Amino acid sequence: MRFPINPSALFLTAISLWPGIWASGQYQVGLNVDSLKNALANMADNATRARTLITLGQQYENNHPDSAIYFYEQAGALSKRLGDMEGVVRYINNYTAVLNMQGHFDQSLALNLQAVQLCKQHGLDDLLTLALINVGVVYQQKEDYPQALEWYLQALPRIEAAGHSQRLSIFYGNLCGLYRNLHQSEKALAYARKSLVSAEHIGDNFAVGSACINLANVIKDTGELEKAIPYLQQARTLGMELNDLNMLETALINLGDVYLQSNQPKRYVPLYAEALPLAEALGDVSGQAFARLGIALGYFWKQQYQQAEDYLRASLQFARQHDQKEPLSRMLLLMADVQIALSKPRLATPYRNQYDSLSRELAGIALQQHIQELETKYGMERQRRTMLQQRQWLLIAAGAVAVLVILLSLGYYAYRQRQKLNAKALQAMEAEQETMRLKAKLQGEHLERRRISQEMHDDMGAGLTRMLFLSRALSGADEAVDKIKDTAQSLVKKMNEIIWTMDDEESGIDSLAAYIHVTTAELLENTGIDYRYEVAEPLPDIALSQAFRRNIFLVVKEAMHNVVKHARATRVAVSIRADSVLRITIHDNGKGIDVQTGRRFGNGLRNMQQRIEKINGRLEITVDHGTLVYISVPLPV
Amino acid sequence: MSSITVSIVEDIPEIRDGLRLLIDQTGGFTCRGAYDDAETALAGLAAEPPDIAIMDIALPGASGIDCIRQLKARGYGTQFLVFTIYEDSDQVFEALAAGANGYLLKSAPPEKIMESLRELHGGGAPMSASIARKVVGQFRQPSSHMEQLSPRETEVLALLSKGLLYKEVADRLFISTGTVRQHIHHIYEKMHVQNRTEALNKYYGKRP
Repeated sequence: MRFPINPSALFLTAISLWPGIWASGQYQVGLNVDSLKNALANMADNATRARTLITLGQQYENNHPDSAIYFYEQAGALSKRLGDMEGVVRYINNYTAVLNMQGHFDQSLALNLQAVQLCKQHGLDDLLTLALINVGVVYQQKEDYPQALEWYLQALPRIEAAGHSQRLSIFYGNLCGLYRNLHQSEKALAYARKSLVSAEHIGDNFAVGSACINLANVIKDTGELEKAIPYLQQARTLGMELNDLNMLETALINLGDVYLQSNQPKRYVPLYAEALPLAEALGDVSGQAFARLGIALGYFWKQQYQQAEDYLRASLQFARQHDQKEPLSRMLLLMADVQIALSKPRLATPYRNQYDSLSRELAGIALQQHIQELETKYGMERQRRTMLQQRQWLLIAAGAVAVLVILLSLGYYAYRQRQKLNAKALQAMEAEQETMRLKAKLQGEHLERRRISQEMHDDMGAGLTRMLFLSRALSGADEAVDKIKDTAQSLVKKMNEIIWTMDDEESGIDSLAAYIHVTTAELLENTGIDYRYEVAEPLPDIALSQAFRRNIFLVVKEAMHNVVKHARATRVAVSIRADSVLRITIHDNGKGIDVQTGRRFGNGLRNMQQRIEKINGRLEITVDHGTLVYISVPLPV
Repeated sequence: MSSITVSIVEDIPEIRDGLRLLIDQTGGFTCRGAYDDAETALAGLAAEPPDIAIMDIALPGASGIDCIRQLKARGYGTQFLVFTIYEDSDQVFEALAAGANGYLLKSAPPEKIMESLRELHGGGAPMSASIARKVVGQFRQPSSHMEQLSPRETEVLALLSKGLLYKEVADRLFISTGTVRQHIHHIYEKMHVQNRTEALNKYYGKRP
């Protein structure tokens, strides 16, 4: 976000603050979600409920945007029903904020234009200004800057009329950003200054600090780095006074960048050193990466090469871990230089290669990377070393020049060398292919066995499906036709279950639990029975035999059938636990089984008992406010 | 409002005709074409691309999965529903990876078939627990330049692979079942991209 400095970064931060700063503190996070939900449970359908739904949605906006949408939409529907136009506009404001985050700009635009209409029609003046700005913001995100500007300028007189305020200051800041995008630096500068003036006028130090950073960035655009310095220093001071880590860290990193570009390591190293712990505290991985790069560069320029190496090693790991490609790429190059400076040109090679491939990737040419990996794999060391020796002098001589120049020249040279190595790479790839072919052959034999049993099932399944479709084509409400349909359907289902049992990939306990869950839930669909399903996680990672899985599954299914058909229950709970023993309980609140004289269920129960005994387990059925089926089977080690 | 066009690729005549009748008789749908093998389907679906194509996997001659792969690569915008007897995860998964947007059981009752077509057209997709587990496996392979799942998609996938039904997933995450299906739809799309990229890399590697 800062290196190279992204002009829109700060503005986007400001834009995202809009809903909060505008609507008199209505964007609140960190509220207790449960208490909000409790409040909603007892609330009538009125405007307060709509507002509360919106507040609830805001709690989810950052981490679970689709939940936020869920609540916003409820609020919007309610407000429409109540004819509460203000509520509808508020719903649009919040909903479109999420849409913008997700990049659905066209949808957001349409809604915001609607909001503008609504505000005009119903005389909602305050909300109209916000709506106009929101339209501008969407255009800005779509990078349609001229349109964005048009809308912003509509809102401008309205905000100015209200006099100096934090809103005005931030608004000027956004306008400044727009003019920068349109490359009108004079206007950008003018509005940046206005932003600062406005903030100073109301004595809001937070706004002053933000405006200073803004202004500094605009000034840097014009190339007059030194002029930006006093503003950044002001922001730094304010950040310290206000104890605003964000402002302080941004100021430090930007200041560091200024001195880095004007090559004053004595100045930038302490700045980055100060910024680093702040970036860590803020969880700003990008800032941390750049700060580390700056510190490492400092060691390099002070010719403390061993320290540079040690520091870079840790920093490289950090940048890799957090996928910070831009600073990582420069760190790699710096490390290559450090290795050469330590007279270890051989060690520089892998770093330069990684740098090459990373910068290529960053430039969007991922294919080159693949070829490069093969080169390293098949030993292109000798060529590399000759290349290196030729360049060594060049590097050491160029070491005194700015780092950026080195980057460019190295990259181009390596690119030319790379072309010559393509032919060798092809050879290496063909060897790799041969190995893959052998592996495929072995796999093929295993698959052939599976294919044969698969064919059997396919033939039967196809025949059953034909029967099903034929029976549907039969006209007339014949009982026999219905029975044919049901039989065909249930047979296909049974075959599905057999296929599942035979699937080796589904041999884990977690797969069994999942399969039980799905099947029993489907059995209970449309029965009106309340279903509670509990699994004690984590389940041990043990592979079960086919017989084990089939028997357990069938017993649980049978028990569930009994609940649906005979128990007259309104609730059933299934619980699964596993340590060295697998324990499953199925408990319903029905009328209980008469274990002595269970004639009708006799066969079924006996079957269940036998199945469990076959896998060395125990089945117990007791009456406990309904029926409790308890299965326990020792697990294989 | 124009109707949703559906084409059928199925070799068993009773099933093919039964499906065609069902689709034509349902309001809002038209059957664009019915083919009995992959070769004619390839030509026909390219000449008259429907909104949705129901593709049987077990076809005589060339496989339905290859057919999907080729048509997807040409970018006609047709969505593919794999028509399968069993929820056999391997084959269905392979079809999904090749570019199918969902699957449909042949034994499903007629209402369920039409419901699935509507859902697919509306941006949703079905997924079973065992398929969810396989998909998790695919995305666990480390591959730096390929798109990974978003945190929300990972959540949905994890819950599905435990055997939760859509309604349960939706309740757990405070979203609607429609949103759950949309997430699945996106997950499938990312699978397609992953597989295309891998195929491309292998292809470019062979170029002299």
